[in-house]
Amino acid sequence: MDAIGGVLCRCTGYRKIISAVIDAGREQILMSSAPAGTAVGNRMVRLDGLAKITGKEIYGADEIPSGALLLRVIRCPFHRAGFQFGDLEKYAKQNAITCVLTAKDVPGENRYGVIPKFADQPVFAESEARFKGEAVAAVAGAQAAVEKLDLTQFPVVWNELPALMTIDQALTPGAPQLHHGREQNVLVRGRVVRGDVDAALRNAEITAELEVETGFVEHACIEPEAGFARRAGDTIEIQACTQSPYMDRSDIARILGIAEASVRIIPTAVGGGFGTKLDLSVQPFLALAAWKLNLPVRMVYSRTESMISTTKRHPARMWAKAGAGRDGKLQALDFRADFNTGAYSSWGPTVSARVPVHASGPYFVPHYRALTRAVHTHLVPAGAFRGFGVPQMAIAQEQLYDELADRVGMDRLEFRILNSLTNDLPTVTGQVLGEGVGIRACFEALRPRWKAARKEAVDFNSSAQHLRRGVGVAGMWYGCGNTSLPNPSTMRVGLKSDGRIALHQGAVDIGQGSATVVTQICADALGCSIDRFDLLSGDTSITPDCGKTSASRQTFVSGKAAYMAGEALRREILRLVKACDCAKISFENGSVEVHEDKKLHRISLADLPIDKHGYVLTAEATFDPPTRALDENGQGMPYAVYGFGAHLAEIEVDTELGTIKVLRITAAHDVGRAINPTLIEGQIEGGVAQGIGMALMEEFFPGKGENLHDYLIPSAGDIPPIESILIEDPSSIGPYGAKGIGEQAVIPTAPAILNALHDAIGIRLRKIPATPDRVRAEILRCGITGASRG
Amino acid sequence: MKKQLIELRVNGRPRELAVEPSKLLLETLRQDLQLTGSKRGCDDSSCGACTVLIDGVPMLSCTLLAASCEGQEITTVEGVSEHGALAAIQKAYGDWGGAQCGFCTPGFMMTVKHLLATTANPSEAEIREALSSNLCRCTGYSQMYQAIKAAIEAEQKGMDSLSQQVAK
Amino acid sequence: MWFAGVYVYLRPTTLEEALEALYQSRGELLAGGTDFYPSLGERLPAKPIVDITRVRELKGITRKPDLFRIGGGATWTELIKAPLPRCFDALKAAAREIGSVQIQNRGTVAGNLCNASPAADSVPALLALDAAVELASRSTVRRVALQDFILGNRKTARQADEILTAILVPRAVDDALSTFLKLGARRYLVISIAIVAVVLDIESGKIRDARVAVGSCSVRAQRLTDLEQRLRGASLSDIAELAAEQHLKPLSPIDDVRASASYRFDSALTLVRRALAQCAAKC
Repeated sequence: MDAIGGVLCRCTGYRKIISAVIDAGREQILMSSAPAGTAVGNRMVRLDGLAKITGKEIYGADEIPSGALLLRVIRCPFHRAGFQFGDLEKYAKQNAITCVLTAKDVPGENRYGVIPKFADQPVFAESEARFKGEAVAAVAGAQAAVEKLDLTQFPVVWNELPALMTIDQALTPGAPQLHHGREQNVLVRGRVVRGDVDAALRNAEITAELEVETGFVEHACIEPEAGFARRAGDTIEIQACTQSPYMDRSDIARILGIAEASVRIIPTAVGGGFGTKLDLSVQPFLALAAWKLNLPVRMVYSRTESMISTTKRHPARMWAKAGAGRDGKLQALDFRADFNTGAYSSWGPTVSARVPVHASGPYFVPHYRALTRAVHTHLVPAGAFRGFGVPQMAIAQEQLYDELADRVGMDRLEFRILNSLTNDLPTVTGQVLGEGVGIRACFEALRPRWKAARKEAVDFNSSAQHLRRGVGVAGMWYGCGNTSLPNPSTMRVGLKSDGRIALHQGAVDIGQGSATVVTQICADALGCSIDRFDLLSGDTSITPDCGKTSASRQTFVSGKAAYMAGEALRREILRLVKACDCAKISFENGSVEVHEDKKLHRISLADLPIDKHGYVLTAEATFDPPTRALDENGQGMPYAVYGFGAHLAEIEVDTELGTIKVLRITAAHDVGRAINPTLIEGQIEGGVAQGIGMALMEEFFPGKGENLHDYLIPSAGDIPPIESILIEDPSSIGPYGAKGIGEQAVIPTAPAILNALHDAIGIRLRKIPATPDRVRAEILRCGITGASRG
Repeated sequence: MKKQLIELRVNGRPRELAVEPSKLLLETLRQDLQLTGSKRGCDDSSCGACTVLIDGVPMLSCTLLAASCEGQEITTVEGVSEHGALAAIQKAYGDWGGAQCGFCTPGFMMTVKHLLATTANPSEAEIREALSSNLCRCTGYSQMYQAIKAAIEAEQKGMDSLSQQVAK
Repeated sequence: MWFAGVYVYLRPTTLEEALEALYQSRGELLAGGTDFYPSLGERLPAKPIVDITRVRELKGITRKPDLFRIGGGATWTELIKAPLPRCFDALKAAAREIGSVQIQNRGTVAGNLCNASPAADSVPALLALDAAVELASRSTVRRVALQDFILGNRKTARQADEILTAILVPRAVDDALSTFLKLGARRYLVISIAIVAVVLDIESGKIRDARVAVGSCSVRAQRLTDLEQRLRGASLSDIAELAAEQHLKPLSPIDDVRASASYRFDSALTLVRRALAQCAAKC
């Protein structure tokens, strides 16, 4: 694809880069190719773009092997129910179905889960279904026969049972227990404690307290889950949309009772993931059917099926109290959160562990206690969704700090600047980062707009009638990668005899652009133009494990592995001709030239032997970010690198209707090093859009509105101009100093909007999202002047 | 339901097909013609990922029977490129981040193609209104504005150089 | 066409054929399909389909001496583009809010009425125009006032063998002003929480006739007749103040995923007042 050359248009007013903040004068030129060594930091056109804009990209539902059977799943229509099957053989015969699958057909373990220690989810429920939408059986057969089935007529008798719908019900003594060994339905607890929070709060001159609840949020990937499986001898191949091919492989091996080496996962392009495609969806059903029948089998989730059965963002019930001195210095935070984790564990343990590490926000808090619980209910499993609980947490913490700033009598932005974490201050886990803590720079970058926007809002409000404007700010920090757990990525890069470079990069690109970013990094580390690269995707049979696309780790972890692999290949080339490190390499068709002082070594690639990977030279590198386990008080080194950011929201509230219009978002992010500014801005803008949805309109009610006309995600008309400010405070561990941005981008938007709502009309809602009816009810309850009808 | 023979014109080519009369245009495109660019996203007219042009007008192929489109010109994303080259809007979407995961992109291509075909120099509001016909979960729509502006600019440049050539 | 003795998919081109096909097949009518297919969910169509998109007599929007006739096959886009007097402004505004442009290009006005959703965007505006519908069967043609046609949630007075052949709007108030307001939780592509349409016929600064209708706040949209009564003869200044809670008596909103009942009631009053003020301000 040829890029349009020329200078980025700055006149739209939509997205301006404040170039004073990133390298002054850095060229904002769009590039489809770059000379060796110049890919990083440039607006490289995404490498997988051409397939996407021509409609040729292959997603989960786009390929059908010839003769493939169609599979559909029978799901429980109640929140909790026992069940008994009728005559399944007769049903299959009557309806010309090839086979019916139930729990009895699982040859291995009827159990899977993203965290092996907590694996608890059956492929098919065995005697009791624990949530509405849980699979109990599947049918496979010819498309025509399977399509016309009315699945409500499937021979199963349901016995509806009383269901636990809320955290309180689940915690009530004597409540039915969903899983053996999980007393009171508590899946897991999280805890980080530092200093003496009780004493500090007692002694604090100023305190503030806040309670807030959030609901289920649906990922609403535009692509419903889909794929196919086929058996090739003793190997099962599954081609489907996924964020985590290697984890899928482990679980499928366990379910089929076969070796991992006998499972091949071929990830398709992913039509949106955001965390929900980390968990298995269609894969186990397809694997079971194809394995049993020795025929290719495909399936595509309907939208409703996707919404009722795949993971959601955890509803959170949070309480927090914070204390500060009259000087505005934060002294203590006491934070508690219960997460409704639904019927199965999924990522509940991760959410419970990550939130206590982050609940201080990007600030120095000397006395701290954060306690969390993930609680099982008879609802759809809550799992990973962009931020693993931190976006919910930030809604509580950032609103609370606004309250505290008001009580201290300080400007809310200056309060945050005063308390910002620095390179030298310890985090709440006792980690001193020593470098790359760019939060203060983020807040300071917002200062000019903050001042201007607040003045504009005051001016507007002085003459407005039922409309009120408000401005809010919120900060964020987010650790990249797994919390104190191994998290390696392995990259393999090969030099082909024709002089092209093969990059085996298993970091699944779910749209965020990791394939492009990782290649940019590898190309510069190797010293080769990106044009020479051929990418091999995350097919587990050809590409080493790059871990999962989650936790904002691909640029940082896989990017670093790509950097190391690129450097290693460079060293291999230099070694061939015994050249020193400072030599320059140039790649030609069929040859490589090494320039050293005045010597020129020319390596004819056709003369070199081919190695076991099929290349003349291969380098492989693994990077696992250095972390340290947390002790019983959560003290330790959970992440090697954090990303930082802050958003400023300007909104307008219609006080008579309770509607909120977001007028503008200014987003400052410390990304360490902006490997590809266009892709980073895309992440920020997309994160802001999801943050707006979470703040204002998105709530999933299990059993109600399981479609995209009742469940609302923002349309183009709901998204205001977004200004991205990129700050580069590098981390020496990350590739070229880069940190993650994927999840960071969504975290501050909702709290900034909610703080703006308070700024506009002085209300704080107990329940989020701030839908018009909730806002209006609060306005009426508080008797906001100027809002009631005259 | 038995199949019947129908004749469709898709991306400028006549195609004779045997399809069930109840078969939706979207499924016919995807399964019978292997044109998988048009996507099924929502099942209920909410997302626009299946948008195609029927006689130049954007419609949802998941609410149309294939049989009901006989005699009409159907354009899908696969037919957007012109004379083997990418259309300006495709190129601009690719260049400026208009596509992230890309699943909604084919639908947006059709909506925006129609906008540009009917409105020479759309205003900010007209672009916003056109984009509001489709849902995207990745981009926040902002880079789409940039792409559309770039496409208009590119087309105008193309027109300018063409008229210069003509003048010469 | 016949398959194994059963009609499956029929695409008549004349009304007579269509009525015959509908009667013979006992099938379901398919026009724009924008509600038909979503309502099927994961099922296939159970009944024969009579596709009326090519029926000649259902096409177009025509001006008659005493009424406007919106053909049963007219789409929202056709309506938006049609040269119509300003009393249709509210209906046109409603048309622009119906789903997406793709839906407006295919979906029909008649289909929106036959679908009879409580949240149908077009119904308040058509009620405020005193619209009627024309229903034809093989044997009869009858006219039914719109408020008698929609009976409840997804229920209409249409018989299984009838086709809604036209929507008829009397030309009593061609030059009246009209306004449409819609409230939803997102800007576009949204099912309404409350909808208001107002038609004001104004003569020398006074209201000669007023029609106010509210949708999405009861199983079917309602005219606020007490308010209309109150408005007749009133002057335009401070017109919004004339609307009061007691005028909303015909409404019976419900709680659902979109909003609470009390919020619907509350916001309906705000919208009615704003619509009146905005409509009067056009004068």
